[in-house]
Amino acid sequence: MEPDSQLVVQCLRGEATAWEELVRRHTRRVYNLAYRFTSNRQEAEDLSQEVFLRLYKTLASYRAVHGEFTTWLTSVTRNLLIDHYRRTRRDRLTDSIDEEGSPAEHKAAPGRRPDETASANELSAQVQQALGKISPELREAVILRDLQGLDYREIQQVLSVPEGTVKSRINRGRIELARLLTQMGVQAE
Amino acid sequence: MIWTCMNSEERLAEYLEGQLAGEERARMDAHVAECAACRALVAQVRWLSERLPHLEPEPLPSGLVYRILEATSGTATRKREYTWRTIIAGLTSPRFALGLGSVAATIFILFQALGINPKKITAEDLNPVNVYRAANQQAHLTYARGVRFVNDLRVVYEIRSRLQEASVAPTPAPEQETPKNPQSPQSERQLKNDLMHKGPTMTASAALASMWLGGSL
Repeated sequence: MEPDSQLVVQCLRGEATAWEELVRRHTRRVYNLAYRFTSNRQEAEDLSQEVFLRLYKTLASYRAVHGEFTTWLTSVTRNLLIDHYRRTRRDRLTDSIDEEGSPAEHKAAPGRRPDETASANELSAQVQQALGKISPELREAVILRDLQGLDYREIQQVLSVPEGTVKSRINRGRIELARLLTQMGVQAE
Repeated sequence: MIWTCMNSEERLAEYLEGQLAGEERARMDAHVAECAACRALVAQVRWLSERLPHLEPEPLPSGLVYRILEATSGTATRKREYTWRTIIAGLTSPRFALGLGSVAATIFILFQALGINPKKITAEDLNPVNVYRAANQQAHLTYARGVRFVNDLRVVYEIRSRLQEASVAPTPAPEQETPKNPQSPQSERQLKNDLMHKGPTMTASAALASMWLGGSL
């Protein structure tokens, strides 16, 4: 399998198959990052398209010496996610006020008995629900580290913050997530 | 310095990753052993950190890759520069050849319908009045040919059906077979002559009936 940086060079030479390969290889990563951040499939899909459009236009600015292609791709995705978050903040505030007005929806949140074992899919949905409730700074740090598997150095590059801040955000993010899941009745066996 | 719950929280990741050493590690161990809340938190965060990397990735919406390629490569196609090479490559593509073929066939059919000879085409042929006249003439010609064809068919089917009736008719008993019997079957030759003569004067319903009969044979 050819390395990503080689595919980028081929893309810039105008080889359509190289671009197709890059898209096929990374769509899942981009879509999952967007979905975990937004908790909305349609928004994640639109954002994924936006990411690849941005990537396509700025491909010439990628230099392998500046780091892994994946890190660069993650930075582009993350920046668009934050832009999107800021753009839609007002809508979300209105939504959350509406939600508070209807207590029935809170009661509908899944409760669970301690002896019940969460299946992988259930846990995934519960984690998603909890992720949506923590601040975007902590959310993105936990997603990048624990769901996308980036190391501290890569996250530092993506978020453009010092290593200490990265570590602290991941730590606080995990603690908040753990507490939320405990409140939801999802606990360590 | 007293080790608080706050300290435990701040150092939790390092503690779980085994990066906390020496005195700090010992103090956190001691605190967690005594504090039930911190013990529960450590257990929950450990459990969560172990499971998060193995969560099932969200399945991709069907067709997303194609939509992305369409959105991006589509842009690329529009921006493509036209050079002699790309133009020639376009002209030799099967799609272009097929398109050209169907256009040529359409023009040929149109010319045929308008009665224009492509070898001797003049400016006069393309004059709307002439085009209309030619089309009108062509339509009348086609109509006349059609009518003649239907009439011919009608005669043929009528003959065939009469012949069939004659062959199926019961053979009369020998004692009844007298030359003066008006019921005796006519000879085939007589019948044909008779029909050929009467054919064009037949009514429309008879023609249709005979055509239907002929078709079902």
